[in-house]
Amino acid sequence: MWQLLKNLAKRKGKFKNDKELAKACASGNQEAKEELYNKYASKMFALCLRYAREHAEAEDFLHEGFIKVLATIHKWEGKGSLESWMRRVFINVILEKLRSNKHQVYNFSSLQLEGPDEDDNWNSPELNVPAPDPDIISQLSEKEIINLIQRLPEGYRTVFNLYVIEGFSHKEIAQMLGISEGTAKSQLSRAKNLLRKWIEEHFYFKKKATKNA
Amino acid sequence: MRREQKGWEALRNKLQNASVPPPYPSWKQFHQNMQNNKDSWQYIGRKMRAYEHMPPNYIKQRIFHGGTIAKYSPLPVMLIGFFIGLLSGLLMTNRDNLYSLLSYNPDHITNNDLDANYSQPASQYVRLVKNDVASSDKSDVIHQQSAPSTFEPFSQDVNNLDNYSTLLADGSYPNSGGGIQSDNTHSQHDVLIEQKHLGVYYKLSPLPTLSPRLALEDKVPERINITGTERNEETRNIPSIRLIGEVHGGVNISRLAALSGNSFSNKVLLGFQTAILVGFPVYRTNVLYLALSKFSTRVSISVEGREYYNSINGTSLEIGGISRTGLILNGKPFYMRYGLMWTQFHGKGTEGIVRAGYAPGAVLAMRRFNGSLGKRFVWGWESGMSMLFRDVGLLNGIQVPIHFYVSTIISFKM
Repeated sequence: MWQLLKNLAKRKGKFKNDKELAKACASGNQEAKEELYNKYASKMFALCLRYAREHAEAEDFLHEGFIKVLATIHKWEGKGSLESWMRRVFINVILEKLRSNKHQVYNFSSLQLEGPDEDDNWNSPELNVPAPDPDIISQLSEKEIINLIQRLPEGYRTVFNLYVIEGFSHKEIAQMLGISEGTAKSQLSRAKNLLRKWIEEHFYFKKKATKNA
Repeated sequence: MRREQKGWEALRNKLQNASVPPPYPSWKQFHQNMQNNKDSWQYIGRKMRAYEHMPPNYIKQRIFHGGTIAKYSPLPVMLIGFFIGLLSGLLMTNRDNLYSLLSYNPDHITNNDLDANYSQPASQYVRLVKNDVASSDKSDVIHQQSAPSTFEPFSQDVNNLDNYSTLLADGSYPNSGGGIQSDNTHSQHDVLIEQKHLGVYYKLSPLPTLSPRLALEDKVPERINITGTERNEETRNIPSIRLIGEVHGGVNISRLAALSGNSFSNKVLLGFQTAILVGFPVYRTNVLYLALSKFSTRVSISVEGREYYNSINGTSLEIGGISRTGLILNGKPFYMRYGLMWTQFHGKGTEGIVRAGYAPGAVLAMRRFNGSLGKRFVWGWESGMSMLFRDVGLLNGIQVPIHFYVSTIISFKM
C-alpha cells in the first residue's frame, strides 16, 4: 500500500507545472531532472526510434538528447510547451549526430546523387504519392508503424520524419540536412511510396495471420 | 482534404505524440552514464551491449567502412603504404640500435625466448622458492612446474612476490648459466607472470635486463587473469584465430609491463605508441575486438577469478565496473588498444620488436583514413615492413598483407 502511494506520488510529480520543473532543472535540482526524464523519456524515445536504425541507436539519441536538454533547459523561455521545445532540441541533436557520424548512410550530401529527379520544377510530389488508408493506420499500433519507418533507408527516413511528422517545409529540411530542396522532395516521395507499400503489406499479413489464428 | 492525404495526416497524428513503453534506459542508467564521460566504462559497456546484437555485416561495416567510402584507387594507396613501411623499416633496420632502444642484450636472448608462446618446454618454467633459502635446499620449494603439456593452476598467493626468487628446474638460478650475473636476490629474480587459463604462472623472464622487478611491482596486475582459453597450439595457427589472439593480446600483458620496464627509452617508446593509440576510438577497438571474438574463438576476461566476458556464450556478468574489452590495472583502465599494440610484440625475434614500432602506425593509418582506404594503406605498410624484416624478403612482403587480409576476412566470415 505504502509503495503504491509512493508510486502514485512519484507519478504525480513534485512540481506543479513544466515551468517550475524546468526552473528546478536549470537550478540543478536532481529530483526535478529525474522527474523531467521520467515524464518525457517515453515520448522522446518514440521520437528517437523514428530516426534511428535500431533500438541501440535510439538509446544513444535519447542519452545525448537528454544531456542537451538538461544543459540548455535554462534557455526555454516558457513560450510554447516544454515538450515541443524538447522535441526540437532532440531533433537537432539527432541530426547533429547523424551528420557527425561518418557512416556512409548518414552522409546526407550523398543524397544528392540518389535523386535523378532533382529539379526545381518538382510539382508538389507529396501530393502525387498516394497515402495509406487512414483505416489501416488506425488499426496499426504506433510501435508497428515505427518499426516500418525504421526500415526506410537513412535519408528517406530522416526526410520523411522531418516533413510528415515534424511538419518542416522542404526548404527547412534542405537547410537542416545540407541538401537541395529537390532532393528533399524526391527523398520524401520515395519514402512515402515505400512506406505505404510496407504498411499495406504489413496490414495484409497481420490480418491474414489473425484470420488464420 | 483528399483521402490520400488523410492517411499521412492520420499517421502524423498517431506518431507525433506517440510514447513507447520501456525498455529504454531508466533514469538511473541515464544518470549513471551522464556522470561519466563517453569514454567511461559504463558508456562503452552500453555501446558494447548494443553492438552485440548487431549482425556481423553491420559490425564489419562499422569497422572497415566506418568512414567515407574510399574514393581512391587501391593501388596508389597501397604503394604509398608500402614505401612508408619500407622507409620506416630502413630507419629501424639497425638491430643493435633497436636492441639498445629496448635495453636488453641480444647476445643472451634467443628468438625463442622472445616468442614466449605456449610451446615452451617445461624447463623454461621455474620453481619458486623462498628467497632466503639456498638453492641447494629443496625442502622449501613451494611450487614446481611439472609436465609441459598441462598447465595446472598455481594458486600461490602472488601478492608477496618479493619473498620469492626463482630456481630453474635443475636447481640453478635462472641467469647464472647464460652469462648474465645473478646475485640471487629478488631484484634479479627474472620472473614474469604468465597467465594461462585461470592459473598464474611464474616464468623465467626472457628479457633479463628489463627490470622485471619493476614490472612486477608497478605494472603486473596481481590477481588479474586474462585468458584466451582456446588459444592453444591447435588453434593459434588458424589465421582468424591468430588475429583474435593478436587483438586479444592482453594475454601477454605481463610482458608488455616488462618491456615498459624502467628504461627511459622504453618509456619513451611506450609513451609514443600509447599517444598514437589513444587516438583510436575506444568503441571501434571494442567493436573490432568483439567482432573478432564473436566469430573466432573463445576469449574470456576475468578479474580475481570472476569472469567478466566470455565470447562463447556472450555472457557478460558485469559491464559497469570494467569493460569487457579492457581491464583495470592498478586502478586505472588498461585499454584494449594496448592489446592491439602489444600484439605486435608477439612476433618472433627482431620482427616482433620491430613490429612494435609500426603497429601503432598501422592503427593510426586505419584511424586516419578510416575505412577501406586505411585498410589498403595498412596492407601496403605491412608489405613494406615485412619486406625488410621477414627473412625471405619479397615473398613475405607479399605474403604478409595477404595473410592480414585473409585472416581479417575469414574472421568475419566465420
